[in-house]
Amino acid sequence: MLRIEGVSKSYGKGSRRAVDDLTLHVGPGEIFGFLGPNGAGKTTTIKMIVGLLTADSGRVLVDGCDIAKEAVWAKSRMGYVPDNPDLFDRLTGVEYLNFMGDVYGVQAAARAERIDSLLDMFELKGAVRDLVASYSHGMRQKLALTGALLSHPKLLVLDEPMVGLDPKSSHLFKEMMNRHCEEGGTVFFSTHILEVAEKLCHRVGIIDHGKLIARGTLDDLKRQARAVNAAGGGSERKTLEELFLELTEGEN
Amino acid sequence: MSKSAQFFALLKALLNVNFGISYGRRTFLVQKKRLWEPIVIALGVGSGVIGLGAGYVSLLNAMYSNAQTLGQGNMILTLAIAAGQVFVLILGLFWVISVFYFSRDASILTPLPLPASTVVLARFGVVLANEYITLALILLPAFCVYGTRSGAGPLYWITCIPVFLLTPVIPLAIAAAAAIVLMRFVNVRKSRTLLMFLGTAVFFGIYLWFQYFIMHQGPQSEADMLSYLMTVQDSLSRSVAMRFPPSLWASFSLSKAGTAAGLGNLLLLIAVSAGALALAMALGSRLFYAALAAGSEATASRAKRPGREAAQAGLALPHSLWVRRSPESAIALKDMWVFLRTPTFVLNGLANVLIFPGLLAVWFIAGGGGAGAGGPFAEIPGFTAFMASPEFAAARALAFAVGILFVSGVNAVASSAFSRDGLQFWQHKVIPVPAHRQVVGKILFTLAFQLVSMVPLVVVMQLVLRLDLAGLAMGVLIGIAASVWASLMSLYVDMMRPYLNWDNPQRAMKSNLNALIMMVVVTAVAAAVGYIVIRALSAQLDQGLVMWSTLGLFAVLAGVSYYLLMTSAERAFARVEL
Repeated sequence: MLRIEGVSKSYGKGSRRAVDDLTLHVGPGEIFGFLGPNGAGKTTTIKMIVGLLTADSGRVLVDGCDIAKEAVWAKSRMGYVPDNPDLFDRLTGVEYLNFMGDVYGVQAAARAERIDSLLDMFELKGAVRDLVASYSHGMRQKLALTGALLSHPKLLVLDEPMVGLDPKSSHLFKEMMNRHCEEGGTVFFSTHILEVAEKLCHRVGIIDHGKLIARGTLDDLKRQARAVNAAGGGSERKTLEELFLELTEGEN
Repeated sequence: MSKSAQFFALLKALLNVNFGISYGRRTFLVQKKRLWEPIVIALGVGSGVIGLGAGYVSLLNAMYSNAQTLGQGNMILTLAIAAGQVFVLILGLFWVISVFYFSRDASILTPLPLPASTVVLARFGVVLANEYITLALILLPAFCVYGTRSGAGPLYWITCIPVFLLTPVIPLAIAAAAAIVLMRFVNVRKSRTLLMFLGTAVFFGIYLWFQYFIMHQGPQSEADMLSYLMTVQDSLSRSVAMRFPPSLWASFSLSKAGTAAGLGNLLLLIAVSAGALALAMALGSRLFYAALAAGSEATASRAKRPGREAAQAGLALPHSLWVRRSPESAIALKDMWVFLRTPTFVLNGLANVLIFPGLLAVWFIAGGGGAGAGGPFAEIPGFTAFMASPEFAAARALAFAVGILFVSGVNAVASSAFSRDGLQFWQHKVIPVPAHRQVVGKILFTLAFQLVSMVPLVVVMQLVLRLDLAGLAMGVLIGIAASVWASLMSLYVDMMRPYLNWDNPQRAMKSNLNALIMMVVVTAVAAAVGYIVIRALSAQLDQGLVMWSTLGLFAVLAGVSYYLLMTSAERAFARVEL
């Protein structure tokens, strides 16, 4: 569903390489967690996936389509929620969702049914006729996710979706991600919260200084951590946090 | 830290952000990114300003020669200063509201231990700094023309400095005081934008009424006017200063520099400026934070809305809420709501399309009205003959069209169509709609706005020019074609270099260099077309042929601009990285 092939991206005329020759495949029905320390290149990678940034080299394929060459087709296959959903805040929730439905070509009847159930789940019905400017961060996240899910995208790309959410909303987000996968969709999300990744993801990838330093299931990562930290040996019952620290420190 | 040290630290930071000094230094000098861009723009805008400035200087020279026959050459100083002060008063209100109350840094500054007066004064300084740039273009040529033509001594040139610095203070202080009071009382949760718009309309209504009243105090008949001109000292300056009476003090400070009268006027100007500023600051100290706090409260009224409980209880929302439109219509509608619900955008967009026709109407009616009379424009050499002669019928229709073109060119709605999205433009980048179709959505809203906004101008221009029906139809038709061209070209410029990283919506429109570029382009094209038309009419070409050719020319230019927009859209969108 998502193939990232040898993608690199630099800032400042090549002086700072944010993503370095990244290769990654995520299959249908999979939840993939993208982990890494601050400034590791997670958001840059996500922005290249959704078309906000152009890769210097390599390519990103969404459902077989190159985002650089068949952007509209690729974008119609995915939904995206950024880390700080700076939505058109002078629209009401209804206007925003109609806007999303219009640009994704969702029929009015389908949109009514879909939005109704999503707003119910996110408890946004009471606020949907207010200006987005009056929404809290969590409400904006939920509205952005509602908009992203409106067209039944095959791929859902979420950048730090749990940041700023209360426990209930966070639970709803996780539930939504699971449900999306059960319906055959794919979720690619970045997070700092290793506990979430550990519980939710089928596979994770760890990026540091722009390079993918580990990827696979939790068991795969444990093996890789042992290889990096060969002298240490370590326990078989390591948490993802311990593995993360070992891998990122080992790399450094 | 002393209050003055706090003030200067804050002013320095705000000026840095306002003019993008650190950002520009980093982008253009350190990273050396797109260094050609500011150079090309500076050369383009610079040559445009010099070209227009040359025309302005020759007009001032002609007016000086005319006025000097009555020994009243100082009229050009009063005219320039009054024009500058009216400009500051009108646009200052919008600047002040936006910079004081809608800057994104409000959430950073409010919790700091700074007294309201310090914040208000520093923000006032930012607006003032912006006004000096515009005023330099209006005042300095007039100061130079008068100084050189009258052979003024060194004291005149020295006095130019304080007069230039003080010219915007009184009108801006009045605008600031009005804005502070207005914002304190309109910052209620509901309909804030509407109330703000009504409040500014009342402010300008009062100013226009004052104009009408004061201009009616002067001589009304031609005989009275002649006697007034001959008998009253500095009658021309006094007549011109009716637009904004304090302009007389500034003008006399200069033209009578080195005399007791000159010094007296300068001291009066300083005292009244200080008083006006003190009044604005006193109001600011009392009302600023209260209005800011009220404005930052959430605008939602969820708790009171009927049906909220039902909605929360799981009842379905009415299907009528969900309406399907084309992506182009969805984008046009989105642009419309964002524009109408952002007070700064509304105030800026409507300022030019309502206030300038309003001023034109009042000055014209108060100045006598009617074709042939010339009204207050009789001061412009050749204006009366232009209004009266039938051989200028086509030229009057084209002047009508140029008026429409000018207002379309300067209202900055088209030249900020992409910039107004700011950092929210990311949504345009991720939606599955080809860039050229998104641009069509932007064109739809822009042209709809331009068409609606030209109505008041058309009414007022017709009042001034009194065209016959055929002339009016032709003037409007050519004006629409020219306006469409100016709008499409403005959209193209803004699409190619959108200004998205702004901290204050005011900057998306007023500090957007694209608006300035388009003002220069539109004025240059209007001047070029005007020149060609005058030559064609002088060569006795058929007036109808000249008008139809002009219409055709603007239609072709609009077609070319549309083609440019459509073919460059994908590349322009791909270049934006957020």
